[in-house]
Amino acid sequence: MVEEKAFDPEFLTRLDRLILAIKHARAQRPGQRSLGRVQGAGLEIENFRPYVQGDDLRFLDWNALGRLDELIIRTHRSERKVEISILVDLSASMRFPVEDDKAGLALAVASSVAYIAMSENDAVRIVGIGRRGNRVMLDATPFFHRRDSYYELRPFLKKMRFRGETALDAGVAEILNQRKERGVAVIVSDFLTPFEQWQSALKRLLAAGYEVAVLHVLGQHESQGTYAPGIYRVYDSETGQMRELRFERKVASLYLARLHRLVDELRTFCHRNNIPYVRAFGAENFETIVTQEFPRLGLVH
Amino acid sequence: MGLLSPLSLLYAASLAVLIAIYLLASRYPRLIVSSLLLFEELPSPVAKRRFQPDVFFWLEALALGTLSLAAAGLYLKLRAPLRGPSHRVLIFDIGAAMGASEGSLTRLELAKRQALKIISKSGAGSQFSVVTYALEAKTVLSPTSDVSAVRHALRSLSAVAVRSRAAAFSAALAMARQADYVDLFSDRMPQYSDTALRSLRGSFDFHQVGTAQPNLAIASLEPGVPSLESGFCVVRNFSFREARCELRIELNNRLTYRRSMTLAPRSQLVVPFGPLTEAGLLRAEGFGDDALSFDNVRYAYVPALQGKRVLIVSSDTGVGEDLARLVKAIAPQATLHTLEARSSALSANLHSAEDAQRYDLVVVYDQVVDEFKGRSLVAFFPRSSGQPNAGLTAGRAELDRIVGEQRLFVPIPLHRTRILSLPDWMRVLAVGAAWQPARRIPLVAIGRRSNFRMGVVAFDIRDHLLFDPDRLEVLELALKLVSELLAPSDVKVVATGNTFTIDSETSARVTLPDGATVKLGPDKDKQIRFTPTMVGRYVIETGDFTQSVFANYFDASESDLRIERRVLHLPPSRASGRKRNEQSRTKPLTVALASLALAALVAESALIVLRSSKNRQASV
Repeated sequence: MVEEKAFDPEFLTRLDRLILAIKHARAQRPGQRSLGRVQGAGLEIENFRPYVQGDDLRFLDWNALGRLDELIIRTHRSERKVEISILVDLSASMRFPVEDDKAGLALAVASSVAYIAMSENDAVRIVGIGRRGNRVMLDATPFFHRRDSYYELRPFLKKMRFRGETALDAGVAEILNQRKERGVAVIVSDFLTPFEQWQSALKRLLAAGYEVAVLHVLGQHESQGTYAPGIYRVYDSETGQMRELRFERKVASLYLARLHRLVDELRTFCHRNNIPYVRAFGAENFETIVTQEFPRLGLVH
Repeated sequence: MGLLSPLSLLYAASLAVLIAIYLLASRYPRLIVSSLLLFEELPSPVAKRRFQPDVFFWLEALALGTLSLAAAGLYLKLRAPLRGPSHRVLIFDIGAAMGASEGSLTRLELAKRQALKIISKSGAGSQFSVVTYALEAKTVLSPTSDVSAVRHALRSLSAVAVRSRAAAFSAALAMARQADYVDLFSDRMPQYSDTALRSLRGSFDFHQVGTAQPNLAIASLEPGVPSLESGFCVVRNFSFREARCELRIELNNRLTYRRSMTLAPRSQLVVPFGPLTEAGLLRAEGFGDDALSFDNVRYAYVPALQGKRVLIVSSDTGVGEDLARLVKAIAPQATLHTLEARSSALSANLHSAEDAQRYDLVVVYDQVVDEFKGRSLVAFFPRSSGQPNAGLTAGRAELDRIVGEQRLFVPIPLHRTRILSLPDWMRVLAVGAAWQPARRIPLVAIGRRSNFRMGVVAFDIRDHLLFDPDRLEVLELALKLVSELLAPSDVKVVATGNTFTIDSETSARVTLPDGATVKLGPDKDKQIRFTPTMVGRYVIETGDFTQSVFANYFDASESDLRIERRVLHLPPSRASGRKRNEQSRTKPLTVALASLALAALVAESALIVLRSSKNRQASV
């Protein structure tokens, strides 16, 4: 399974130098560092400023008073971090074609993004979005801040089961309902769902002030339409709907045209909304995707 | 062509399995994709799947089919003339249902036609005999090769208003035991015993005749009590559709009741009427669309019991009351007189003819009755008459047989019983065993001599024996005895098929319902026995006495004119066409079918080898 590669120490070493490219999600103040430093009640000293009436005397810098005879107040860096949610589509379509190991690829890229995000001690979690019957199921890890916690993701990923219909839109709505803080949302999905659904999901996140990134996962065969010629009874993995189809060279182009249109629709939407869009097609390309495509497409730097 | 074991055709289900295998093999492979979204541009349906069996399929189907037919025992029936003369017995059911009309013919006539066809196809020199059965088996024609005699015998057959009895059929089979061929013509397969069929030497064929026909029947006619109690008539519809019927009831040839009715399918209707205004002969007739006429008429006789005078003479008060109850149950309108006799001798005035004649019936208990001068007398536990052995007390006895009944029952212990010396004009109705001395003795008897009728009951009826629920047979006999003596002796209503007797020393002339007359002589017991087989009035004339007997017919099973096609499972040796000199013989095709299956399999193997060698050459 390709998701095991995401926990390979050698591979992780190559990820150490990467940083998640977050643009707006952190709170910024002019003249300060851009990596989310906010005034707050943390332990790390952020700055000094003259005392004004009403300041908490606990933060008075007694050393400075002794040396300079000035009332100086120490300010501390806030402990609040950017919350990064990696949303993994758990629909049944992520399992097929089985030989493509699309689900493994999705988990692997999600883990890699989590690892990269942890480099900045940001709060990172992975949320699986699935559907059981009419109920939307969210399967989320707690927020992890440090890379030491990375391996704790492993048992969670192993338990993830891809089944049922896609519930991106309803899942996102549920997440937004549960958590009001803005943050970063990285969506890992094959987006094989009606246009309206994934578009609605992305729009919800944008409207809620999230910084969104899209990881479009597809299998190797699926993305190339390389099915053996012949007549098949083709079943939809999510709905169970069946159609009898004959695959041949002539109709393979129709398949690819439809796929390209789907990809184009998604990519165009992402570009228009300033959403980083990364195509992760083929599990065998995992390392290349993470180490080369992620930086190239601006997801990490 | 036929099948020896049709059930084995179930093996043909293997063909369905073969087809299923081919269908599965030709089924398109299953492919699960992430989403049909990507395939919606592809044209669909792209191909119409059809079951296109190849030559291998047909060869395998041929092999399986022929093997199934071989297992079912497919045979050819070859018609061949007889190689020599044979003896054929034609057995006809002439029970009531065979008289049912089938269009313009009756079932019996249809059977005759079938028999004539068989006769015409038989080889020269063949012998035929004709046997009928209903109430009893009867050889109508002994073996003869004279075809015209056979035709004449067949023409003379007619259905009788009697249910066909299984025993009669068995007897008919016994008569045909030595025949080469036995042909049974009936509308239903009678109950047969394997033993009877196994005893046949020749082959047996059952020719079922007739189709389901509607039938209405008068199942019962109860006259009630004149001026007191209503009567009722039960009309039954045996068909599976509703039937219209008009019921007419005549009393002494005068219409007293008429009603039109519609009967639901397979239902019966109880039609009340009356009370009747007078006693006499009651005749009910149903008019409707039905195929059987025997059960459309029914007679009942209403005895004129009003004003009847009955005298009960008893030395025991309890017995006297029991006897009074018994008489009142039979004749509620009768006038009852009781006489408590202190002595065992009948009252002197009863011995005078004039006094005795005042009573229609005298019932006595524990009395000497030799000098009785009245018209009818029932004597319970009669005393010695002075004749040798007469009145000898036998101590206790058991009632173990009612004459003329097939019913078996546990012997009934009785009280003190007297050994009777019966005159020869009396008929025994029940016998039993005495313990001391150990011998068989008559217990109940009845008889008529000139205008005097008498019944005797040999056992004591103290301690309410007549009404003992454990000894109902005793009450039944007493009721029968008193009823018969109270009823007019010149009119009787009986059921067809039941034998009745007339006490007569001379021969009798019997006029049948169809107007024909027969002469019957008395047997050694000076009794004329007669069994009516037609519905209607029989007139029996002896030297000094004329009696009218009205015969009724109804039998629920025979009146039901449904036809149940039954497969006759005969022992193989009795099945038609298995004997020597057969008219039609069978040729089993088992070997031929198995050979065909084998050839199909060999051909398939050859084809497989041929194709594989071609493929190898091509690949080389």
